[in-house]
Amino acid sequence: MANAQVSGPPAARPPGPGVPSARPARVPSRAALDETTLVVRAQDGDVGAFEELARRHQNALFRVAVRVLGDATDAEDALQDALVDAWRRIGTFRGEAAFSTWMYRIVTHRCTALVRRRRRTEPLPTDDGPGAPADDRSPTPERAAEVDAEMAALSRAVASLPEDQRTAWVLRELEGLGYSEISQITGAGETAVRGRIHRARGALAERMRAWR
Amino acid sequence: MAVERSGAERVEPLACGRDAADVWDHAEAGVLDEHELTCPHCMRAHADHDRLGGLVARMAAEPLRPPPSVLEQVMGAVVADLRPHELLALGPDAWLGRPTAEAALRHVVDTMDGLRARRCRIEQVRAPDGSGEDPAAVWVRVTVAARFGVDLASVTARVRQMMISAGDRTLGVPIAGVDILVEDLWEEPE
Repeated sequence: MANAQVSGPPAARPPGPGVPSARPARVPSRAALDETTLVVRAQDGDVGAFEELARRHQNALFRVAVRVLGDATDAEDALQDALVDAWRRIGTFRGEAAFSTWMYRIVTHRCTALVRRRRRTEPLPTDDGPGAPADDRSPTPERAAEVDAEMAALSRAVASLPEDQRTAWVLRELEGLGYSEISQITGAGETAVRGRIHRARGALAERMRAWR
Repeated sequence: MAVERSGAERVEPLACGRDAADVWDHAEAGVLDEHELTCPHCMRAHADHDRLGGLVARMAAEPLRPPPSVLEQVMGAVVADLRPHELLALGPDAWLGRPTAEAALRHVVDTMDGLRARRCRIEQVRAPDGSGEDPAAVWVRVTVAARFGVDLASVTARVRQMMISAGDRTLGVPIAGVDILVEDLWEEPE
């Protein structure tokens, strides 16, 4: 029986070949834990579990924030606020949607609030946005410069979209989310989401015609 | 909650009657049908997709990552935001933070092959006369996820015993009882 006297730390006991289900195991690192377990632990007040969740999702959330806000510094602020907000509200997460959807919703709301606040004080940036790194695989410096210029033009075009179109377009085209998930994140109906993305695509195609 | 607005946000159909957004999605998925490949209205619509496709893919692939300082600041704020720790009495003038004790007992579960701890709650059983001379016993309620196929009766009995041992030996808190709820199963091998 596995419930014999236990007199030492579990790791000191050699695994018993006859009782695989009860043998001591190496403690799984947080990185190896499934997301549901991490969420429940974070809801239980486990700071380390929340840190692992934040670590897993921060890159995607940051990408969205950069593209929606058009500014890396603002995106850092939005991400930071969103993650702290997520910690405070994680007890309200009921699992109806994926945790990533819940996190996207928080960060896009933060971005929207920031865009609206900025709109009251200054125009949207229309410069090169977050910038585009040079493509080392480009065959020639001329082609690399051309690609950089195209990417900068696309960044400007994205930054000039209305905020609701820009958010929906970023979630669809850059994050690869479905209409239904974007609807859950933005609070707009699926028909509206499709319309916003379509209008954004049309506007971007129009503005990028000069580059082809 | 998603809110459907007026028709102003709908996608206008092309002159041929096709939904322009559908044509774009078909171009993206490489599943344009015969009509969409030959209709001039649809061809204009998927030409726009072709015009943007490479650039958008390049933008999506850009490695944008936040600096490490963001997560550091977030976790600093999270720790500062913690509620004042509830305390478990160890004896006269000695207490143990409840989150610390709960974390230690979750760790006990994690050491078991085939189990992962989720929630852990510790309730102190106060002495009826409130004398508080000795450390008050606690009752532990823990929820776990188990690997499919694990002998649950055996492994939970073992965890219960290990927790009681950890309470005595590691935390200095006598554990009067342990309730274990297996609330989930997972199938992938460790």
